[in-house]
Amino acid sequence: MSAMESMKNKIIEARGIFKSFTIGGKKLEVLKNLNFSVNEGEFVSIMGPSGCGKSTLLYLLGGLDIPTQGEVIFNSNSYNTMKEKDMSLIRRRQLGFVFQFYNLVPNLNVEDNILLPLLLDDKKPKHYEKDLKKILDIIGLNNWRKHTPRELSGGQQQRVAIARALLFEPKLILADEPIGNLDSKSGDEIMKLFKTINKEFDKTIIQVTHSNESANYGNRIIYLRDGVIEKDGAVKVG
Amino acid sequence: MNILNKYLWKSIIEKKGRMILLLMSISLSVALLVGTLGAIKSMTDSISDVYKNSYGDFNVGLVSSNRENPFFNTDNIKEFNFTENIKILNIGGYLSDDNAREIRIYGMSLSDFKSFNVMKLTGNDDLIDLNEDGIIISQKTSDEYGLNIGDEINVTILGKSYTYEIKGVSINRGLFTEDKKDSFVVIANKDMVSEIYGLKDLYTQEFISVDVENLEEWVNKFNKDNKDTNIIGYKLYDEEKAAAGINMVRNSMFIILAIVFLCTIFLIYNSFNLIVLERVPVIGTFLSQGATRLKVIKILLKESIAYGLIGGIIGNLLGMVFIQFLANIGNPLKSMGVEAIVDYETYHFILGFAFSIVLSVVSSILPIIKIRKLPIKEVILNTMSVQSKNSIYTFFIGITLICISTVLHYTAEVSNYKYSVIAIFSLIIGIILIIPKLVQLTMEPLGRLFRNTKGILVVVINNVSTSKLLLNNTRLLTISIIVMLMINTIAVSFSNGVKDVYGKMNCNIIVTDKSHVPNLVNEKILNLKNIDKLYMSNRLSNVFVNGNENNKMLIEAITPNEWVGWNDYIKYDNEEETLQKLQLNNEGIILSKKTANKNNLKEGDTLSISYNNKEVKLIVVGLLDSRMLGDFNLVNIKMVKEQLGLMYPDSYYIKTNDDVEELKELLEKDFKGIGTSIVTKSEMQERNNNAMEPTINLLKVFAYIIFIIGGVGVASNIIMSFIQRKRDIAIISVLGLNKRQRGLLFFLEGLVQALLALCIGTIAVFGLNIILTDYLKYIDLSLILEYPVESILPAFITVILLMLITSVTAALKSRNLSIINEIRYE
Ligand SMILES: Nc1ncnc2c1ncn2[C@@H]1O[C@H](COP(=O)(O)OP(=O)(O)O)[C@@H](O)[C@H]1O
Ligand SMILES: [Mg+2]
Repeated sequence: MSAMESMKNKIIEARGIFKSFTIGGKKLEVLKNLNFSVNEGEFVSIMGPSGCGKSTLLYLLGGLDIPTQGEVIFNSNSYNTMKEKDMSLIRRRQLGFVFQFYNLVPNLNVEDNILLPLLLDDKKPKHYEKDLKKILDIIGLNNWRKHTPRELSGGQQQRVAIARALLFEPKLILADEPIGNLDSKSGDEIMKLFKTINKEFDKTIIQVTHSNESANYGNRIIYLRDGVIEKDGAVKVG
Repeated sequence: MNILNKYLWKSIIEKKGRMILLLMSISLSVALLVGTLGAIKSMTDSISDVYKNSYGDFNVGLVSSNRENPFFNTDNIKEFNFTENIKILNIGGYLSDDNAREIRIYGMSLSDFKSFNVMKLTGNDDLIDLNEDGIIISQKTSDEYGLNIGDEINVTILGKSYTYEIKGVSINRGLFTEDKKDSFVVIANKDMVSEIYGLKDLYTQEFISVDVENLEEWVNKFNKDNKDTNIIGYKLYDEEKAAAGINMVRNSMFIILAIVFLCTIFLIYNSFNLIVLERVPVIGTFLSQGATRLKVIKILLKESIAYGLIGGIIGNLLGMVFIQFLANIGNPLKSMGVEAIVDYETYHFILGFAFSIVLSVVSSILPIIKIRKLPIKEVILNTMSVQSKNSIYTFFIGITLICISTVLHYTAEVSNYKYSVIAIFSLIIGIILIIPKLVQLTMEPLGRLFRNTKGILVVVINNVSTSKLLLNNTRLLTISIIVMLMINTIAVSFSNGVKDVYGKMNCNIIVTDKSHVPNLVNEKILNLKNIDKLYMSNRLSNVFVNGNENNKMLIEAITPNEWVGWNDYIKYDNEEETLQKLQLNNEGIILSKKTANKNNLKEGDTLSISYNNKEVKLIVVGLLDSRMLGDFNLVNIKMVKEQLGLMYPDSYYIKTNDDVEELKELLEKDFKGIGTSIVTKSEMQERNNNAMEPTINLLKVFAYIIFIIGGVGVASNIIMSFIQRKRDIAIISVLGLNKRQRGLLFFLEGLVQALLALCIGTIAVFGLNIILTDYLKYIDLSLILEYPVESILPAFITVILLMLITSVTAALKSRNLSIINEIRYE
């Protein structure tokens, strides 16, 4: 870790996180005492075998679920002490989510899907016209603004989801297997988009992925196995 | 059972709420059908039963055709082919120590009494001797007045007092069914009554029993043959007349029933849409494992048949209760104290059962066969959308249907309103079909308007106008509102229409004179003091039009220029002018539009009427709208006097500014017991309202039932649609929708839907009222439909409350919504 990097602020930190589910009366320990932090500007990939708890971890980082034990600290604030309302506010303004199945609202058009967090925040769309245009340019869907998600290809839908995640200029983007459902060409395009967002727009990204290729777009990989961190290190360049 | 069947049976049981809703709406519909059929049967039975109880085997009555000479000699009767007969001489009187109690005395021989076999003496002393001062009373009178065999009563007849001894008590049948609150019947010795009159071998009534196939024909022939006597025969029980009364009730019940069915069909359709939608992932799995679509369709059909079967059983059981309930509420004879007779007809239940299955299958067939067209890939990948599409076709069909009903309305007069039922339903269905597009069209500008003010409204408006589920909820709400308002319209207009018949009459006391001394009654009334206004008329029923015995009309003989202002309920183009024409023309007639239409007559046409075998040619000098009075036609009383020989009026409408009760008492003193009824206007209105009550109550019961079906349907539909929309809600929650906003979202969606439904519903009812008026004309009911303005607010409140309750329920349910469970795909 270089000196310059250590001076950067911690954006999110997992402290002694445990997560277990009870299925049919049996307790299933999914995450066991995870400790790590992510700094501003990092592009982290979480990898590991299927069912090892990657998504569970991501949901915990996004405050969509709460840990059985331990805490997640975002911008020096612990989720544990936050009210539902403030949590929603953070999700709206400071976090961006991207999922494997795009998760767009089917009856809203592209534009409104992207503007959704803003609408929920009672902001006036007309003040964001410029931002919207910029984002649509970035994702290359300026001509599709009025279309509904079902009229778009998988790759296009995922780009809409990314645009939505970007709109509020969030500090942190959380992506769960963002290219898991795409062919390799579209997948590459999406990963390039993430890379641009990370580099040029200075956004912190944490993604869950299965493929080494996609992990190589980032600069750090955390390997999970049996609920613990097996390996945590920088991506070798080259 | 194979795995597919197993899965589907399991899923029926799994969704308890929906199962209950479906079974409830199917069985309520079946129960209403069975109940209505049974209740109508019971009403018809009750009426014919009253007849049987009153007249037993007798089916024809003979009376004098001349009111001033009510006595006839039975020897004069020509054509004697009847099997049995009894002769009666009747006279009226009142209890000497209580002149408010009228007594009708029927004089007959003991053997006639015995052959009038519906009347039977209670106890076992069969061998009574009905001597000159002996009488028989009913059990009812015996109980009411505490009179027993051997007791004596004093009766005043034609001003003289007589004492009678009670010799027998009979069951409350036959002539005793005429016992009323303040009058009762006694059977007395015929010779004694003859003596009071000072007559010999003359009678006022004869009942005969004739064994022929066509009684109507027989009566007509009898009357022709007896032209030269003063005897006229009539059917004791007129099925047609009885049926006409029930027909109106039946028709209104059926039309409401049809609307209930429409609601149910829509509910089932909707539920099956959801069922199919919800099972898409599983259907996808089945299809991907090689099941054919036909197989999947068959299984869903089985499910729908199962609902039909179970719904049919529950519906029939419920129907048994409904029959009792509806028959009692709709009992046309309730005011007479007659209880409804309820018989269960097996075929009603079989019909209900078949109907249940057909209803269920027909309503679910569309969503089910849609599976044929489901894109397999989308089904297997579960990327189906619940977004509404292609609404333009539906919209077009809807518009076409609305046009059809409009055309039917404008051509209604030509087709005699025959197609008005089709027009009603094509309008309702048309409105339902255009709702999605209509909602989109109204919401679009609103969406733009709110875009830059309240962000959540954009989401709300978008959901309301594009989500299939929400659009269907709006439809369901609209139908409920339409039905609620329409039933209110009918109920309110009906009771107002009837109330106004008397309400607008310009009098306080109505005297109807059926006495044999019309000259005396006339003289007394003309000499009354302190009278503001007096209207007189002579009402003739049994008037044949153009010599056709099957075409009867009612005629009111009046003095035209004194008749102005009698009753504002009746609408003329120009009352004074029209009546003046009749004043100037003794051979004129003013026809009610209804009668004119029926006989294809217009102003200036001529027609002939015959009464008591006397024929008169008349010219139509004007028309009037008699509204609920129906067949109501005016002729000049001079003509009736001169050509038909009827000298005195039989109806007097008296208006006084003095005390009404005082005047009534005065009249009663003079007229008691001679067959003249004196009724104040308010008593008349009360009687009328009592007679209307069964019909109004029936309508109300139907309204409540529809309300239950509609309300439960809407509520559960909204809650079900929430389940369906969980995923969308979860996504929005990930993006930062907090719980309070989620509740707000549900509520605002509900509110917008409620407002939309209210707007569409209240406007639609305007159109529907117009078409409904056509239908009412078709069933010969000239009712002016009044828009139920006062029901809009209650409807508004109810709908808002309903939406509030359901959105709170949905919000509560969504409290446990696990976001991650919804967004993760297993
Ligand atoms: N809501 C839940 N209820 C019960 N078990 C769960 C739940 N979510 C995840 N699991 C279990 O936790 C484990 C990790 O799941 P997940 O985080 O989705 O794995 P992956 O690494 O494939 O994303 C799995 O065994 C899964 O079955
Ligand atoms: Mg996962």
